[in-house]
Amino acid sequence: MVALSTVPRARARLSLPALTLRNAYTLVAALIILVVLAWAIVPGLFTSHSPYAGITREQFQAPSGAHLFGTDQFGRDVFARVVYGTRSAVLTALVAVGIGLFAGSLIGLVAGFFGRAVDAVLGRLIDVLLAIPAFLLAVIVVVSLGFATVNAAIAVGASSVAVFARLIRSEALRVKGLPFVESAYLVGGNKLQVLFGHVLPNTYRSVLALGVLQFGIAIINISALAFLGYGSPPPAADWGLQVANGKDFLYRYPWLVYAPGIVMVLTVLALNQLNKSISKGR
Amino acid sequence: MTFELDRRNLFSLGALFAGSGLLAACAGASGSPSQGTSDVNAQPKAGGEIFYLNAFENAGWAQSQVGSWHALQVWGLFAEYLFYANSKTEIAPHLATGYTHNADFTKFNIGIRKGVTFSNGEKLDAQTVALNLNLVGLGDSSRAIPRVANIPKVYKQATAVSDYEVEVALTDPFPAFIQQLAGSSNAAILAPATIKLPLAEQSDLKNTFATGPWVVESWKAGKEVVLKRRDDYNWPRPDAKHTGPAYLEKITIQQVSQNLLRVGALESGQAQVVHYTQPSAESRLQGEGFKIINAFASGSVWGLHIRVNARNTQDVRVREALNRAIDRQEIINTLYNSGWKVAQGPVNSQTPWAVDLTEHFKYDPARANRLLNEAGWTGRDKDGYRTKDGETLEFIEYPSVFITTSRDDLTLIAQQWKKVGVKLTLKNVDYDNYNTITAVTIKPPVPLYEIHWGADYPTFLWRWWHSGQQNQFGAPDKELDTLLEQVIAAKTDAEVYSLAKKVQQFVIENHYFIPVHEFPQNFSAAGNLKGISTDGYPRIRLYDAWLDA
Repeated sequence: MVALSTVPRARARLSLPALTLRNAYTLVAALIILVVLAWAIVPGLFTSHSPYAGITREQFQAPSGAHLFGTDQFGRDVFARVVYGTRSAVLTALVAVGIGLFAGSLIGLVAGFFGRAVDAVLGRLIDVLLAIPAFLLAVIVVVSLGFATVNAAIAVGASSVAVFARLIRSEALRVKGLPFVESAYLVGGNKLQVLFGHVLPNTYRSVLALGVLQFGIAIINISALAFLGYGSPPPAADWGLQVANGKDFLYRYPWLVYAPGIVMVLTVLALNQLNKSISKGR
Repeated sequence: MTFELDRRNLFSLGALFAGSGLLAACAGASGSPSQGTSDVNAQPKAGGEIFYLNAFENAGWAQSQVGSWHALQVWGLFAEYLFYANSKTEIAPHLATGYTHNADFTKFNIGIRKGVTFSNGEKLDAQTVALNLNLVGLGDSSRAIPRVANIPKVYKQATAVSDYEVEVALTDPFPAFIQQLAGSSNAAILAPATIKLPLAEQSDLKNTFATGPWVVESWKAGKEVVLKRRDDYNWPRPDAKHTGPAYLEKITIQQVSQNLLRVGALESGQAQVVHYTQPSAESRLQGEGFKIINAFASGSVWGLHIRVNARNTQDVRVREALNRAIDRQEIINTLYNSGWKVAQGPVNSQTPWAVDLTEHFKYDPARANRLLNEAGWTGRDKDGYRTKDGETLEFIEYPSVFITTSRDDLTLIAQQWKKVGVKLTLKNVDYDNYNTITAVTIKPPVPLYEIHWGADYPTFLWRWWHSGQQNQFGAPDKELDTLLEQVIAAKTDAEVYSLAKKVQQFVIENHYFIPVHEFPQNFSAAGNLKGISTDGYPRIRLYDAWLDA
């Protein structure tokens, strides 16, 4: 009875405007992500222009009803290139996060759960990886693998392994000492069953939040690699590549840089907001 | 643990975009520092410092490393050659006084200019020149110094026959030896103290002692070279407009790889000369009073070698279709301006031995489609590209890392080829690996390879295309080899030029080469920098340049 009566009072302390504003941020962020996902899945629904074929006599047209984000030096529709570029951005970021999540979770889980020598060895490996700046590590990996978007995704994923591993390790350390884990052993569970049946599922919330944040960071890093020429070559519809190609014309035709740049920034900000909401349980 | 992006980073991200816009605005805001009086009435004034911005800067400066367009612009400011090509692309002596040869062109006697010294005080004489020629002609395997590839392999030895005369002996006749030597950017004459060093020490510019009007004051690998005027200099080329030391006291060459920033620095008065202005910026700069110099090297055409040993390039109908599917005028209209020209053949129209072969590769998409159909590429994949036996008609190309316009050219060509169902896939490669990955010997061969090189004399065609030389088409063609051998054996210019025209015709008729547009070396300069010019390579000439207040 006491617990039930305290819950409404605790909620009453939150001011209504603050709550509404916070939810509004999350709602806007979710909408942005939904649009981005829709662009990635069915780009053809949002534009009738080809992202690759240009009409050269229509080069450098300013944003208008015919070309929402204007046209580039080849007369290609910038909006179409941004929309089609979303697929590449989302897919490569997913690959990157997937690699980081899978490899990092495995390393962190094993280190945290088994402890002792295993933790010492894997912990030092994580420390070494964390000591190398993530972007530098990504550049090294992509130079070794060859310049391509998929390789850039692998590179960014490899550079985030340590971040996931560190988090999962600390979560595993916390969870393995909880009473239900002890109970699992008492009812006959072996180490593997406890690890994958009880410890892993109870670390998901933190990992999910980190995954969302890393998704945004992966978009920035993959775009940065493309900007520097380590990603897909022209004529790929890639956000980073579009900013790189547009920078030579920034003075006269700023939309070539600002259009993909603003979409990229909004996407990352939206992902950051979602991360905050997930972390705080809203 | 928090997973939030640092708020400052987010602000930085926003500031990056806002800042980039401001940067562009500031860059274009002022043209006043460049405005000067006209060259006609002004009197040259000595003194002053200029900043020259290069798109790429070498990390090492051994002579074998200065072959790129970027490097040789810098190298040519402090290193000099026995012979040079003047602005009319004629070969003229500089550190040499002239040459003679024997009847069968196996011996060349070169007279050496008197009164020339290197920046370390050593004297230029026949002994020094012989040392230099032997190093560039033979290399030195004990120090891992390669021979200069453009010097014919028939080079035997150079010996000083008097204080100021060198005799060069060849194992076999090579009538155009002097022309080949004059066209080799890696054959500058350096002080004995420099060329006797191990390769690694020769790469350090502080060890480079040459005879030019400036000397290296300091340098930072891949970033900057600072040159200071040599006050005892008094042996300019015959085409110079004055004698004695150069006017400019100091030249700072810096690497600024971003095209926009180079132009912005010029517009804001922070630099006085920039190499490789984007063609799209040229008309604006001209309107603001800056000088645009589009200097055409003898021969230099931007085009694509077709490697005939690569997949799907053996059929001449396919090669012709690739040539016919390129609308060169659209490339010029879209990416360049009136200062640029469509190619008329493998060498540019300024070359004395050029021949107009436009009819053989004129834009004709209908003919290209017909040829591809005849070659059996009649199927189509889901993207509309042609297929045969399930294979897509696709060619891979690595855009050149040496020039800044290559990617745009190739992107537009990919767009044009798509119209006839041919797929051009571009791949990225870094600066250090470009030459390896595009080498003619690489397996599997790359089907297309860019060229934008100068050819000071027809013997350069032999260097590029003979199967015993660079073999840029990848597969021997006996008829072409025979023609090229005749070029190097010919004894008069008239004979060489006539044969060179036959070579070009053969190459184009067989569609071994895709000429696209003529390729100038492009510079932009502040209006108050007077007397700037280029020579026949073309290299920038700053010896007569001076700053008007």
